[in-house]
Amino acid sequence: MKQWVYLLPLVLFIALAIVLWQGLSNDSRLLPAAMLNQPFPEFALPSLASSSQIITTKDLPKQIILVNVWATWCSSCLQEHPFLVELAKQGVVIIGLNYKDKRADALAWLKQLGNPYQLEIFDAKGSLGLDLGVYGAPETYLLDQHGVIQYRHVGVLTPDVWRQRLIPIIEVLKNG
Amino acid sequence: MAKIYSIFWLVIASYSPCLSAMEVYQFDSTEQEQQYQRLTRELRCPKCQNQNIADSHAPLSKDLRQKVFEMTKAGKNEQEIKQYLVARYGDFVTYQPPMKPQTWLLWFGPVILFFGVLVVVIWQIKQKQSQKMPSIDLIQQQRLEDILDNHEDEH
Repeated sequence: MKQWVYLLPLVLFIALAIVLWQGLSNDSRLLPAAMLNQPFPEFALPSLASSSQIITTKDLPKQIILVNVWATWCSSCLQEHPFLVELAKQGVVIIGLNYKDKRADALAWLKQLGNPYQLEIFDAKGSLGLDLGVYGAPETYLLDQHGVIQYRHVGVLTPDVWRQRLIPIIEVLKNG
Repeated sequence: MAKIYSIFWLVIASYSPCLSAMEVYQFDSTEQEQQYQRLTRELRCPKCQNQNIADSHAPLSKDLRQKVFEMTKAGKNEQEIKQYLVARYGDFVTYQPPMKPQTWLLWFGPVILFFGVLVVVIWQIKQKQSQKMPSIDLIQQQRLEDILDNHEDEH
């Protein structure tokens, strides 16, 4: 009994070291998505091309789609853009949610860099962004055929993320 | 010297990161204003973590302050506003996490740790006490008293 007590500090130290070690590989900027497995929030917002054209939840295609939150002030979005264009060429349906941006800037960006989006929603005040729980651009949401959010990726959508995280979910959705 | 000090303090003051309340809002009542102040202090900025939305300069915090203001003005109570934001940003957004199985360790951990330490300390004290006083027999007791008596007589 006595000897066991002297081991206690070592055991506690090892336990603490393991907890802290795990903390090192834990990115605190990644927050759990509160909107996961919930329907995409209702919205009615103008399109990027024209303020008179209103896009609503009903206009979202009834298939597996990506909703990409982007803005011209977001430098990571610039880094992400070529891969989105490539995905669109492969036939992936991407909806653009232009978040707290200037219309003219956003249109010039798409003209210059190519437009991977089937629909461009213009969310100047970030109201849909708030309903989605967006806390930074870029963010990408994966929606299933019923418009339910299946995955959220915060940060640049890289080919690695696409292969390792999104494709497995899409496979399950297609087969299920 | 005084001049250098004043320059020093001016520089410090100009870097102050805690200039809060950047917008001016008009409330219908002091209750509403107090509710707004309480909520913005208790809600956490998802972008610049470790700051509440009252202190944060992030554009997202500004949007959240605006939302809290609008909802407060529309007559929503604290609970409703918190639920609205937790539904969108998760439990992370509040500095007072709700009680549920995932947060039990957070809520009860310190209390459990305190009582655990208390039990160990009491146990150790008891052990020490039982070791400290080796009993002496009657003869030894008599001798001890004799010595003490003699000692007192000398004075």
